[in-house]
This record gives sequence, structure tokens and C-alpha cells, in this order.
Amino acid sequence: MTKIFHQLGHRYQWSLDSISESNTGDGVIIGPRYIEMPDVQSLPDNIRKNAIFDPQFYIPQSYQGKLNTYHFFPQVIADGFSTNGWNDNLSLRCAEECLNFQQECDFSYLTIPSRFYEGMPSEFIDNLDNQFARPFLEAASKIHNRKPILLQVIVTNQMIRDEHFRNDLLNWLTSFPDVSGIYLIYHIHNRRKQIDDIGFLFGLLCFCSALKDAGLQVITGYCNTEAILLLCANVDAVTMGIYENLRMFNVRAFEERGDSVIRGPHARVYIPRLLQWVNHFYVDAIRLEVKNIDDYIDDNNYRVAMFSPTYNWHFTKPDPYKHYFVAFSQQLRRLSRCGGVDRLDAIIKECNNARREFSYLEHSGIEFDTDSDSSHIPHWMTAINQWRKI
Amino acid sequence: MSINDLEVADILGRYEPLYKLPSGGQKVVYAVRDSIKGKIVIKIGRYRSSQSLERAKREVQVLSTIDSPYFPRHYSFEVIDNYRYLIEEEFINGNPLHEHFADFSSEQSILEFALELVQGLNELWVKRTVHRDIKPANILIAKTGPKIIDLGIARLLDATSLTNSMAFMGPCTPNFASPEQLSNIKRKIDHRSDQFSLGILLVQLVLGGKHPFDPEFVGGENIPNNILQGLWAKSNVDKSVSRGFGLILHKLLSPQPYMRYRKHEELYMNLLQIREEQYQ
Repeated sequence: MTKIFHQLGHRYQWSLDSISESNTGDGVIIGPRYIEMPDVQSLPDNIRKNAIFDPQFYIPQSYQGKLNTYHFFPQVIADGFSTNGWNDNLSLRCAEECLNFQQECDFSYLTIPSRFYEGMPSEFIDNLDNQFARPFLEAASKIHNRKPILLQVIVTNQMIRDEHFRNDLLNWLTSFPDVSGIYLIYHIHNRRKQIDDIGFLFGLLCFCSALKDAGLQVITGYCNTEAILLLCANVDAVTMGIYENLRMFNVRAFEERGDSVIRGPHARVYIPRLLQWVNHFYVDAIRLEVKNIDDYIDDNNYRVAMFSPTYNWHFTKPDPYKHYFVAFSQQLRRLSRCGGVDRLDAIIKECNNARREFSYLEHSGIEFDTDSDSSHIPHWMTAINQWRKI
Repeated sequence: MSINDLEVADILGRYEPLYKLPSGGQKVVYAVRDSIKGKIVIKIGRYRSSQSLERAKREVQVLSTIDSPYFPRHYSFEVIDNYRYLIEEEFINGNPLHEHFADFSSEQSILEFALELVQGLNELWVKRTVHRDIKPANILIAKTGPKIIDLGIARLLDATSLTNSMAFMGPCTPNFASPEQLSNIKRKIDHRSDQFSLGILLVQLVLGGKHPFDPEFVGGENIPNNILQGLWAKSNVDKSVSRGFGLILHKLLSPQPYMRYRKHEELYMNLLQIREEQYQ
């Protein structure tokens, strides 16, 4: 059965509460960007034992957020990271300290970090190999009774769409017998809330299933609702997260910024039947068109609060996220309980049902905005249809 | 730079020369009798550069750490004047595999042989070493079982590659090389490249000695081109072996390394499983 991890970030306590109160996940992925090192070390044992630590070296020269509270972060250990000044000694020291921290915290894996590269640069694999994989594997070999190793890779949609690049990447990722799994993060250039790049979705399914065929675990981070699609490839774990920045990887959150004001998104609610987050403006309209809104929106404790007439929708309030955690984790678990062809059939059925539901609501006169509509479902279906042919 | 018999006469004088063995590359190989060690093999080469000396040293380094029934025992390595080097190793009393093709007439015999070869190669692979020249001529059939010889172009994966990056293809025998060796994509060459060559060799046994990428089976210009195109006698093999063994052979001959066996233990276990299912 596919595991569900909470991708922790800002307001991570909501995720921890959801796990303990509603059993919505099998573990957490901890990132230093939003959690200081002492806070990570003082997390309860049962959380740390089921946690993956993502060192978030995506932009090694960054000082963003709480990254500088970690003594092994490249910018800290090198006293100002620069590619020219980064040498083998620093790589190894960074690797040793980062992995020792993960081992001491008793996380479930030792994660080898990765950095982010835009597009598909020709030196991508060589750089990751020299700067991360080799030194970290060398450091890991010195750890007694070490945890299984996860190798992180951050891919772009261009890398995954290009079959040649994808094959090269697969050849590299599968070349380390000591690595147990891949922690995969995908970055989509100029993305909407849902991924509309069919070539990428198809390539992603091929990529994940090739890794699985090679006997590697696949853990996909920063998942939005496409986590359901990834169940087709039988990935080992998908993620859920509170804010959009935890459900759609965006490297900008790790770049040094000035004090620019970031506008908050509209509050949205996840509707399992629609496989979509829908702007809260539509909730009342949907209520008028369906027989039982409780059944429709998914009846869990958080729905009660949200549908009170006095509820003040705002993206910073916890209820829609806690509702999502319950609804989405139930949906993922139900689908991943099926195996093989049955799972694929169940996912296709779920997509077809969602299309019908959308069609009904649209015929009733509801015109969904582009971030709440059904346009992602044909993309998913096309990717599945292409993938199942190979 | 090749080396001839006259240029090695002084070294040969240390021993009782018996006969010359197939030689190649930058070295000559003799069977000789040493007053203390008895019958041994000596390899005398000339290094033109520190790079080729490194290559020889590397062969020795790997051999000296292996104590296995599947490889000749290594005795010594010596650098001699005039850019020459001398390697002494165990003499193996056996003939190359291609003289024994007729002995492998059943799937079971090929399976047993594959298990032995994989066990031997595992000893290289765990040291992150790639043989890079697995072919029938480099497998000697001795009374005690197969012996894998000529690690001359093996390299330690952890060290910087010795291969000339400008070369058209890496050091290999083209008819038994993996696609990534033929394309000389150094980063892609690892233990899975040996798996591909092993796959060719095993399928050759299945086909009674015929090369699976031979244009006779699948058309095409020549064997190396067919290797690059992924054209091999799949249907002939599928008709000749059990489904389980066929799947292993297909996996070994996959065009991309990621489609082969990531962990060498898995290959051994798969072979063992087929043997148990089919023959026990």
C-alpha cells in the first residue's frame, strides 16, 4: 500500500495534529526551511522515527528562512557557498555532518540532498554525482548500522519529457547498489495549480515505474492531487501539504528575496469526488445543486466548522487543510488498497466519475474558474492511456 | 606501442620459457617455468605513458585483492627499465570457452555455468570493478570450473577513468561490448555493462555458438551496429529456453543499463530460482 507523508512547512503543527487526531499519514517529510534545528531535534520520537529529512540544499548559497540554523548547510559550512570554492573536503565534511545529524535523529532514511537546476543542463548528472551522490555515499559508508539511503533528485518537466535525458537520469539513479530509494521532486516551469503538461505526466509515470522496476523505492515530494495519478506507477509514498508551496514545488521559496509582499491565494476546499480543489466561492452554489452536501464534500469533523454560516473563509485558517488531509488520505488509501490492474481501473473510474460530476454541475449552471475546473482530468487520462500502452 | 619478443628476451631469461600465449594490446604473454613457483604465466608490457602504467597497476591491484577459484592467482608486479612492466600470475590449465561450446547443449548446463560466472563476476562487481571484456576467449574452462582472465582493461569505478575520452569507443571487444561501451559513454559503464556481455555469451551458448547479434539472424550491417540497434535473435532464444531463463537473458541484453540488474545479487538469485523451479 502506498504510504502518505505530510510535507512539513509553515504551520507544521497542523500536520502533526492531523496525524495524531485523525491518523492521516504514515510519516512526515521535514524541511529546514521552516523548522529550526532544535525544533526538529525535539520532535516526539514517534514522529522522528517515521520521518524523512530533506536537507533542502536546492539553492546551496541561500540563507533563506531557518536554513542557517543547520551547521551543515552549504552556505553555513562553507561560510558563504560558491561553486568555485566548493571542494572535495567541504563536500565530504558537509556530507558527514548532514548524515550524522539524520542518523542521530533516528529518521527512517538517510537522505542524500540535491540541488535545483533549471531546464536540462548537460552537466546536471555530473554535478549531482560529484557534489552530492559520491561524497554522501562515502560518508554513509562510515556510519555503523545506518538507515536505508534515499537519493534525492529534483527534475524539471523538460528533463522528464525528453526521453534521452530521462534515460540518462535513470541510468545514473539506478547505478548505486547502496541506494534504497529515490526521493523525487518535480518542478514545472510556469505551472498552473494543476499540471497541464501531458508529456510530463506521461514521462513521470514512465520514470517512476522504471525506478520501481529497478527495485528502488520511489517517494514523491510536494504532491498536489496528481498523487492519485502517481498511484498508477505504484510509487511507495506520496505527500500532502498545507499551503500550495508544499503541494507544488517552487524553488523561488528558497531564493533570497527582498521584502516583497506575497499575495495570499483564495481559500479553497478539496472535493474528492471532483479530484480538485475548488474555490470556496462555489461551495454554496454546489450545495444548491447536490442532494447531500455532507456526502459530497466529504463528511469529516472539519467540514462542520467550514460550513457554518458564520465561517470566515481564509487561506490561513486550518480547517480546509485538515479537512483535505482526512478526505485525501482516505481517498488515497482506498485506491492504493487495490493492486495492479485493479488499482489502475479504480483510478480511471475515479477520473470518469469526476468528469461526470463536473459535467452535471456545469450543466446546472456553475461555471468554474480555471483553477477549480475539470481541465486536468483529460490530461491525467491521456497520460494514463499512453502509459498503459507501453 | 607494441612490444616484440626481442625486447623481452632479457626478462624471459629469468625463466624457462615454455610457449607463447595469445597476446594483445601492449603486452606479450608467455607460459614459463619459474624455479620456485613452477609453471606460471608472465605478461610483459610496455607503458608509453603514466596512464598505461596506471592501467597495468590497476589490473594488479584488483587481482591482488581477489582470492577466488574464478580468477587466476596473482603473484607479483614489477616495473622494469625501458618503460616495461612484468606481471606474474597463476597458470590456468584450460581451454577458452569457444572450444567448449558443444558441452553446453542443455538449458540446465548453461544455467549452471551462468551461476558460476555470476558468482565469479560478483567478486569484481562488489569491488566496483568492471571487467569490460567478457567474451568466450577470456573464460577458460579448467577442471575445477570456469576461470575469468584478462582483467587488463578492468578499472576501478571509484577512480578516474583511464579511457581516452577522444577514442571512438572505449577499450572493449566490439562484438561483445554493451551499447554504452560502443558509444564510449564512460559515465554509463558499470557492472551492468559486464551483464550485457555476459548476456551475449550466454545466448551464444543457447544458440550453439552462434552470435545472437549476427546479421545471419536479424539482418543489419554487422554485429556492433546490431548491438547499438538492439537487434538480436530474441525469437530463436524464446523458442529454445524456459520462460524464466528467457526473461533473465532479455533483461541482461536490455539496451539501457537501468533495465538490467541494479544489484548483482538479484541476478544470482534469479538464476538460482530458475534452476530450482526447473531442475530440482
